[in-house]
Parts: sequence; structure tokens; C-alpha cells
Amino acid sequence: MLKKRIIPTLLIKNDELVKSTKYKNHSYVGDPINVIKIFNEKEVDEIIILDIEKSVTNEDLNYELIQNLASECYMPLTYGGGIKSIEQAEKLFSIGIEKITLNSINYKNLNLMKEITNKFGSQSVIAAVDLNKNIFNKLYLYDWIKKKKIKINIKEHIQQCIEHGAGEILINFVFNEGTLCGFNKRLLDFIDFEIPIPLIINGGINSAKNISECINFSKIDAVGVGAYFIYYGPHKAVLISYQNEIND
Amino acid sequence: MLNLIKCGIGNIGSIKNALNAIGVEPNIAESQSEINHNFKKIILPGVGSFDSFINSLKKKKLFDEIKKLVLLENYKILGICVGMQSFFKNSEEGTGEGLDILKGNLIKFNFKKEFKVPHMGWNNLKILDSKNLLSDLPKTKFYFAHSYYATNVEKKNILSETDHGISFPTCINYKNIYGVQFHPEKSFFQGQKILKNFIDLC
Repeated sequence: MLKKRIIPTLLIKNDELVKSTKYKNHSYVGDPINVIKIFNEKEVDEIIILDIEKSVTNEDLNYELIQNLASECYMPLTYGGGIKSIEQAEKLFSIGIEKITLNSINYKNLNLMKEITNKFGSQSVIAAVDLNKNIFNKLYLYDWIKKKKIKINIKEHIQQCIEHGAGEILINFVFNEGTLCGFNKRLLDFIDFEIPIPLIINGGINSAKNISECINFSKIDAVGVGAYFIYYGPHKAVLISYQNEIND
Repeated sequence: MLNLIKCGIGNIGSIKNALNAIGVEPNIAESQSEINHNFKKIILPGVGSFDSFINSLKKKKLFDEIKKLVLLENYKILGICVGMQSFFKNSEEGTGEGLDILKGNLIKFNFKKEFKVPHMGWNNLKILDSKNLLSDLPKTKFYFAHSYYATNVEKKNILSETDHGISFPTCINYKNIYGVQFHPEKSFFQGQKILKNFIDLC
């Protein structure tokens, strides 16, 4: 049986590993290569690395750093952040990246996803969406660069991504991110439609029990975990950990 | 040592990393002329669609060359993912013809709800014959990422199967032809062991 995946989800800014809360207040965690090495030793299912700066600054990607990270990973590595062309995707695949995530670009040019998946296959692209909620707890698509609501229906957007070849959907719950407040599976109540491809959720995971609740939930295929695997104790000391034996 | 075929849409980076980890520096061949004939082994990795993979082999004049080396000169070949799929003649995924060096064909997972497609993540091998590639594995959990699977493969050529809604061949061997549907280069030490087993074949 296919194992549901538990995926450390790491953020990079200025080539350093950082951790944010609700996509704000980035604090320094450590050297990304060291952290990846530790996760590799712990035999994690997969790793997602998101460069949170590249979409904002429009700089080209730091391929050297990415290649160094990939060479420490004997498991699948996903990269996201600032990808705007098929050439960039091709270069990432050639230096050892397994999958890429596309996020902001999907609102401007969904054809890029089609182009990349036609050439490299659906399994190579994760469509990422950021969701925030209003004071009535209603979820909406969120533009984290401009820090505002995107006026597109969530379901329609996800279905469009699937139609354009996405191999997986990653939903980031922005208001939960880095808060260690727990992921409540009721957040997925809005999914009243079929998602035929794997769904990864990310944001708020705070315990082994919480991970286990999520992966035992039929709608969820994989769980992204950030702060819970990076911090330890009430003062948030950096201590890399992992839990893999939950549904083995 | 061995030849590692690079045909534009294979993930060479991670295979090279995994080979380096077991102390092997492959000869990377991007065209017919770059194959080093001192090494009578070939690894053929592949991602992407069946047709685009086959076309890119043809474009680099590797299609006929590989067929010749495998069928006439007895080179050992290890196909990974779409690399393995290219051994068959036909795939539902495309209209082009594959290398046609192994009996069988490829069809798409066709499910409702319960089992998602792509088949993506870690799954177990049910080992039918623990010889050659599959000998002495430390674990039997491997990383998969694919939407099509091999069928009509002769039972005696199937070394392992995996369940995802149905049971399908995931490691095959016929004479000098070896194939895995999963990604050994992304499956920790058990994956490196498979690569090592291929290298150690005499």
C-alpha cells in the first residue's frame, strides 16, 4: 500500500534557512545544507524547499545552492520559488530536483504548467495554492507577495491547475503557518469536489498525534511539516526532528 | 563502470549523485558517439511522457544504437521509470513505438477516488524472486512517481510487483535487460543497493 507522506517543508531566504509565522517575521534557522543532511539521515519521505524571496525580487535562481542541496538528498526533493520558464524547470531537473512547485505564476500564465508537464510529465509539477481566511473564517486565495486576496474561486483555480497537468496539489494554510496551533481537518470542508491527484496540506502541524490525524484522513495524501520538525520546546530552540513510523 | 544515458528529459543529477554515493563515476553519454564501449553496461533513466522520451532518444541517435547494443552485443541495460517503459513496444500514453526489446505493454492507472494517479510516494515491493537486482535489499520500500504501468509481462520475467489498486510489475529482468518502475536513485540505501547490484552483475 502506498504510504502517506510526511514532508519537511523548508523556507529559504538569502540562501539561509528561515522560518516564518503566517508568512511574516522570518527568523534564522540555520545553514540549509546542514539541515538537509540531518533530514537525509533521518530518511524522511521527501523534502520541499521553497525560496520565499525569488518571486519577490525577480532574481534568477541560485542553482549552485540548489544543486548542493540536491546532492545531499537520497530522497525526492521539490523546489519552489521564482520559477517562470520551462528553461528554469529543465535546469532544475538536470541538477537533481525531482519536482517543482508553481504558485504565483499560475494566476498569470497557467500555460507554463501545461508546457512543463507535457515535456516532463505530470509527476514533475506540484501546483501550490496559498489560502488565508477572513474574520468569518471563510477561506480565500491569497497573494502573499502583494499581501491581498485574489478574487478567484478556490475550487475553480484548483480544477484549472489539474486540467493544466498538475501532478499534485499543495495547499498552504497561511493563517496557520508556523503557529504550531494544530491542523484541523475541518479546514478541508471546502473540498466538496474530487481531487483526483495527490493532495498535500501544509500549515499548523504541532504534534505526532496531529500528523497521524491528518494522514488517517481520506482527503489528505501527504502532510507538510515546518515548525514542528524544526523547533523544540516553549522557547523554540532549533532542533531538527522527524517522525516516520506513524503509519508504517 | 557504466554508461549513463542523458537524453534531455531524464533526471541525471540525482542518479549521478546516487552512483557517486556508492563510489561509481558514470560515463555520461548524450549521444551515440559518447557511449564508452569499454563499459558494457547502460543505465537508461527517464521521466516525462513516453513519446517525448522516445523522440529524444531518436533525435540523439541513441534509439537504434541502444537496441543494437542490447540485442546484438549483449550489453546489460537498466531502465528506470520511463526508461524501463521504453523497453516495450506500445504505451497508452503515446502513439510512437518503444524499443520493443521486451514483451508487454503500458496502460494507465484507471481508478475512481480511492487510489490517486500519479502513483506518487513510497510503496512496497512484493518480491517474487530475490535474485540479481533484488538480492540482499536492506528495505523493500521504494519511491514511485508514475501514471502508467507495465502489463502483459511474462510472469517469469517479473522479479517484484507492487499494489496500487491493482498489482503490477515493478522490477523486471529478461536476459541482459533489467528494469525498475520506481526510482532507486531517490530511495535511500535500498535504492543504492539496487544500483550496486546492477553494477556487480557480471
